[in-house]
Amino acid sequence: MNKQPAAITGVGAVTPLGVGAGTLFERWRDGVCGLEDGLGECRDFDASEYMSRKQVRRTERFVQFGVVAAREAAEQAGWEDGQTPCDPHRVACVLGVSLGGTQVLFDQYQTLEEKGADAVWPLTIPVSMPNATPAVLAMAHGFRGESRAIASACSSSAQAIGEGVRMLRQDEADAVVVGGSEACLTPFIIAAFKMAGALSRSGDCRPFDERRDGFVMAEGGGILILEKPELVEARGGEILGYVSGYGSSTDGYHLTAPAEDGRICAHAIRSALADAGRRNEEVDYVNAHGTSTDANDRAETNALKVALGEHAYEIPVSSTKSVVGHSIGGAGAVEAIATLLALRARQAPPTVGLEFPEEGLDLDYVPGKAATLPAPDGDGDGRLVALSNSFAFGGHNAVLVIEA
Amino acid sequence: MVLKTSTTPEQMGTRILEALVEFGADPDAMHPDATLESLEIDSLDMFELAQILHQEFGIEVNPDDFEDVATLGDAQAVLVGYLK
Repeated sequence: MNKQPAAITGVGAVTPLGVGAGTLFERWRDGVCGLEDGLGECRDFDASEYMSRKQVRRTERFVQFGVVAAREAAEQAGWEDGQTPCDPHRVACVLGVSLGGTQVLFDQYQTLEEKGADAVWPLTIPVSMPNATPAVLAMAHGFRGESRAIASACSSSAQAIGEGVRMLRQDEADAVVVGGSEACLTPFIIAAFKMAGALSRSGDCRPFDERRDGFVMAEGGGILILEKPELVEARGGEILGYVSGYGSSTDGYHLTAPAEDGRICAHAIRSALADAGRRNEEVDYVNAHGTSTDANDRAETNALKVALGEHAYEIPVSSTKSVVGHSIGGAGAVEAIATLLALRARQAPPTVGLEFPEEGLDLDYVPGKAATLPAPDGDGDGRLVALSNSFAFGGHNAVLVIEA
Repeated sequence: MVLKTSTTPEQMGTRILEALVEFGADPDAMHPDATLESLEIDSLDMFELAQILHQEFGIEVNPDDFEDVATLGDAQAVLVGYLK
């Protein structure tokens, strides 16, 4: 079976820390927190700066994040005029989203109630559908291969990235546009998460801290362009790093809560490492799911100990959500990009807000300031190896192995 | 809904242009010879326009009437024709 790593040639992100993947990494590394008043809003984002009036009107915010992130990624990948560098039919797109265009659905339901069926906006479905982002990106960038959306809550975009790796390995595509986005900071969705007991009551995100009390809802998204390494080299493109492994599992335990022993999550970690052909001892950094919920942070710590053994105590483990919150379907992609850039900079950014780790949560969660990652082994391939974890409502666990 | 017989072709033509600009078309490019394609007006715009004309003027737009329509002028002629 083909286990070739997928070359990452471009990344783009829109997060509460600003527009741009570099902005995300640099601000996180410097300990800047993008959360305000218990929410992670992309306050700097104005779609009209990037898209025509017509495009803005025809897209929900989660699609707009994808459009802007994809443009950044395509530019970095050297896609001339944003168009695919190979046969468009050999370029696929898989994007994660959990809820899609909830605001327009809610608004149009109100229109139905107040004014009747004939008043419902004809564009309600095309604008709100969860697969709108791949559809819009195909029109913008000219790709014509398979495209679709994946909905697995907080693991959606990590699973989309994993699916893209599989497509390249199975020779179903030469390049894939992967990642995902979410924008559901509406009163209705926030209330629904709150009533499910998931949100922080204090409004603070403090992963692994004894005072943590839930996650902080956010919006945002990230896009990665993955290509077959030999084709990148043939066209003289730059390889930023690799997605070398993907593992997934399902708790089958509870609709929302993770199994505390972390054994099923550990299975996903082990599968991802096996897929990448890496040993536990080769892992240099873990980008944690790290939601700041009581259950996740304990289960994830257990999972890392089960999967990595003693090595779990020897490497930095930090949470991007500590500065950008939890963007649900967008989180896995944002964190995969942050992981790549951390490896390239040889720095593990901190878990901001963590001051008093809970008893038993005894890994190195990088409190305070960024930690320096070690130089790659002299006898290896010169790459650092990281895990990027995503564990979702529904028990969907997805782990990516990223190298750079 | 009853057709509003007091509507003039001029009133309806003006409303059509307003709506298409509201949908995102470039107001400076809205001349009768401009093709719908060049104005980036597509079938979704026509569904929205049909809804507005129905709500405001009581007109039932038949999508089949637009099969041979290429320009803005063609489209306006078909739509204003509903007043007759």
